[in-house]
Amino acid sequence: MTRETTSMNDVAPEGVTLHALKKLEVIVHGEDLPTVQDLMADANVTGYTLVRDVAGLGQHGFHEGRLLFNEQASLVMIIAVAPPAAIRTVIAGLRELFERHSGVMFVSDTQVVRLDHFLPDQEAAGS
Amino acid sequence: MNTITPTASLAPEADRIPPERLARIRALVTRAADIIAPVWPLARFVAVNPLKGLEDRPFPQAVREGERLFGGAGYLPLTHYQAALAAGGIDRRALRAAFLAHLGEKATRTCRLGGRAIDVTDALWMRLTQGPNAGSPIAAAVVSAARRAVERAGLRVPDAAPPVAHDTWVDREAVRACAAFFDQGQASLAMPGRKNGLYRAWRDLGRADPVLRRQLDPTGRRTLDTLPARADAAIDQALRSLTPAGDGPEDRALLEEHLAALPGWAGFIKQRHNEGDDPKAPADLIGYLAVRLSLARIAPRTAWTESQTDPGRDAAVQRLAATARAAGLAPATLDAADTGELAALWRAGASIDDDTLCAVYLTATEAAYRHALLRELTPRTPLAEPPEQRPAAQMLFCIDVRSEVLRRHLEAQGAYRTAGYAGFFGLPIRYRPDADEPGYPHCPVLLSPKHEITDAPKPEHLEPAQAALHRRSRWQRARGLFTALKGNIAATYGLVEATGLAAGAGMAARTLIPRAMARLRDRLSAGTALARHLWPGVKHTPATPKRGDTGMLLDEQVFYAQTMFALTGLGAPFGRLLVICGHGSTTTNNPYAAALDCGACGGRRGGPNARVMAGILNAPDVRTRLAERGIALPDDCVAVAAEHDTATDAVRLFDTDLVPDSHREDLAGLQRDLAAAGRATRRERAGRLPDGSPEAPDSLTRRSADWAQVRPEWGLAGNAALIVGPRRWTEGLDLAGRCFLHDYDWRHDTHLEALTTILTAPMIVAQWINSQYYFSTVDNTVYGSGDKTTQNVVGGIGVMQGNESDLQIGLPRQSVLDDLGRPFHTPLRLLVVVLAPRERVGRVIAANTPVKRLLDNGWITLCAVEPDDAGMHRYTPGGTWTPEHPVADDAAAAA
Repeated sequence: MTRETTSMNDVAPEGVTLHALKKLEVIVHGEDLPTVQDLMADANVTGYTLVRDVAGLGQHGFHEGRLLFNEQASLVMIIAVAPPAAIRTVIAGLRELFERHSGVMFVSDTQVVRLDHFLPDQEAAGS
Repeated sequence: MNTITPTASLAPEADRIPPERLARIRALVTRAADIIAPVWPLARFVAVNPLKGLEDRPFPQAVREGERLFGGAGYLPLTHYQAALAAGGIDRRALRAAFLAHLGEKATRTCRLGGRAIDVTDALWMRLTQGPNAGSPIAAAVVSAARRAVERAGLRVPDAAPPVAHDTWVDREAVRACAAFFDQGQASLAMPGRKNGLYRAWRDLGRADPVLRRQLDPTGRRTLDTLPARADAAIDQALRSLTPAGDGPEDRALLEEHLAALPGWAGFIKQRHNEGDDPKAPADLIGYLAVRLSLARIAPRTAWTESQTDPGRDAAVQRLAATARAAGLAPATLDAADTGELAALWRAGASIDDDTLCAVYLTATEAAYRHALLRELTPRTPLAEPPEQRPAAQMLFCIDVRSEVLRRHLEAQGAYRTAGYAGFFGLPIRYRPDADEPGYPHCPVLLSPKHEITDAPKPEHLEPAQAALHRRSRWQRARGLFTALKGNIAATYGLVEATGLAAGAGMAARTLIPRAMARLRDRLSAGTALARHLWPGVKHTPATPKRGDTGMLLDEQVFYAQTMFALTGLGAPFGRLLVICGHGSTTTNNPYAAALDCGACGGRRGGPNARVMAGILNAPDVRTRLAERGIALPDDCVAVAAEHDTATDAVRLFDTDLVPDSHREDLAGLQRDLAAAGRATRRERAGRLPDGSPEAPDSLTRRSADWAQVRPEWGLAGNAALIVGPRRWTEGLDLAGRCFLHDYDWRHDTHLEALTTILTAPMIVAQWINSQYYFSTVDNTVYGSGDKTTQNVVGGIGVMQGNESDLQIGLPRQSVLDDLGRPFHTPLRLLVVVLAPRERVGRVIAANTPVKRLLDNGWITLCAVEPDDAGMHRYTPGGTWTPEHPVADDAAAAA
């Protein structure tokens, strides 16, 4: 499978190719984490990074980061990098979720070196 | 965690449905499941508000929605309150004040009917206070006249939605599928194909199930045979056929109705999936809804008779008739009134429903309790400076309302200082007494365990520890063998022949000499011996822990100890003993045993947490680090773990063999005083039990061992308030076992971290408990779990009424009602009283949306008491404060 490579390659050291993918950053309350994880698994997003106890200012005012004894009310950030189709699927679910639940998502272009780490097994085998 | 793993063999149908559509379905299911409160399995029964999913709206709206979705009542019946008022159990002045406050600016409402002036305020007051006690039910003639008037004037209650109707056939089949799928080893034969998930297992079994097929018509059988393999695809198909319009709101409403039909099973599946699925039997609400919606598609068609009633009109008739009766209007007057007059009467107050009147009673009862409590606290503020004398011992208890009684009686015995803290002592642990078993989380469900704690032989106890372990495994093997033989079709008859006589003698002994049998059981299972020779002594994990390491890092231990002192304000002068006391309840033959254990420990006993914390506090390197942080425990201060048995009020001290000889006398004195405090506590509690007597307090220990006892203790019944402040503030007050007590010293909480923690965790747990008792009392059938004597334990996970009911979600009748079915528990929403400047409390509320939501929507009432001048203010929705004048109110009431 071939992936688009862009001008970012001018920062790539010799012999290293950068592959374009999409990055999704989602911030939700801890109690919604299982749903986001399910959406990722359904969409074959093979991995993600979790940042717990996120603090910040939003529509509902400033949200404290760490709550000592309550993880469900704490905010958590999930960062995932995957091919556009998989991210599109996750976004479709998140959009439905955010109709009622609070949360934000950011989507951006990104580049990775080891493409096979970000593809489902069968795709990675053919890439 | 995910139940649906697309594989090549399932690809075709998945290909036909765009993945975005399936993702939307998953999110739609999550949103629909907001209405469902999680339900934990029996072994760690956790109190939860059955309307937790509706906490985002004001309390009156939430209970109305609960009535529509689940068919549950939101208040005690109006007649109950009216009878209590007549019997003097409700303060008439407080009721009048609540009533007028509810009417607000329109407190004086009059209108004219047929030339006669009607004082609608008076009529409503009569409706509120008199009810059926005034005489007969509303005369049929009045109801008929009201009906004619309603028709004539076109009066309607617009939001009088009937309860959601659901197909009982679908319910029954869904229960069968769930009971088989989620069985935890109680059934002798396991359901096949469980590893494929709930929906696939049900579908595959259903296709071959002659009992199911026989009930279906040919179309139903054909649909069953062509159901897709994926659960989300099955939901997609069902939504397309059941909600042809196919828009989002209609889809979600259908999903909500299906979830609300059996909130117990749905809540159990939601909780189980969110905590991490069992890979041998994965299930989530997608699978559950796929089963239900597929059942709805294939359900045998019954002649569906459209209901002829108009709930909006019927509700209007009931309200108008009740108001007419209260106003003394004759049927002829109603008949003579023109439509304009009727509409005016309706607007002036006849449209008020019974639930609103119940809410007035609830508000009045809450205000009376709040004022009484605040009156007690007024003269104690500002606080006197703490005494500098060294106490004989400090004892840290769980905030549980049952601790208050024992603490009060212990403090009366001598120089003891007690404090309240969440009973898991801030330790997010999973405790595994048997290293071969996964064990249980011993922390609030708001947290996930961070440390694995196992039992290990104490130093110099190796030999007896091994003997005790050997005895336990022999006992476990014998029990396992007996259960297996009992469930085996071939062996069960032989088993009865061989052991019937002995089993009969055992039954007789359990009935006649329950305490002796409990001791025998303890000896056989090595219960006491294991606790004596093994302990969950915390191990120092290496600096770079590996997966599977047990114990904690030194830094973590110091952090948990420091947090305990910071949150409670516990400090010098420290006593020679510092006792960490968890709690649990010893009962026999009680599926709800966990409901009596510690909520902060996730429905487990608190003893292991106490032992871990005592171990941490005695570790020399922890002490060195604590001293560097300003918490200097003197060398002669020894931490000891304990556990309060709330069924017997015995307090057991752990690991006393590790206490140095220099402290033997201190320990003996403490044990003597704990025994005396336990006796006094039993005497107080025995007076509250319907068949108990203060003269025979020791009958409570027999109760605990009696396998026929349906009410071993009252648990947390009566709970009404959480008090956040130093113990000196409440010491000596008889709070009647109704208050959660969390120690807190605002002067040491510069950055509000302690108050934030208390309001976002212990307060939430207290509110869950409070709501569970509230709703189990006001509607025990829907929100509780009904009568204990007709309950069946299903699959080791929950109880059903009969053999095909929903999983019961709340407390049994015997936990909240007396033997005549009258409420023992007074349902009040949680009152929180904090000793701290209200400006500081307000800042914490504003910064924490979940806390603000509970307060703004009236699930909790919070009062802040100014430490300097005892000024008392009640938080009002939106973030403002209303002054409370409990003493002035009292004087006015007396005038």
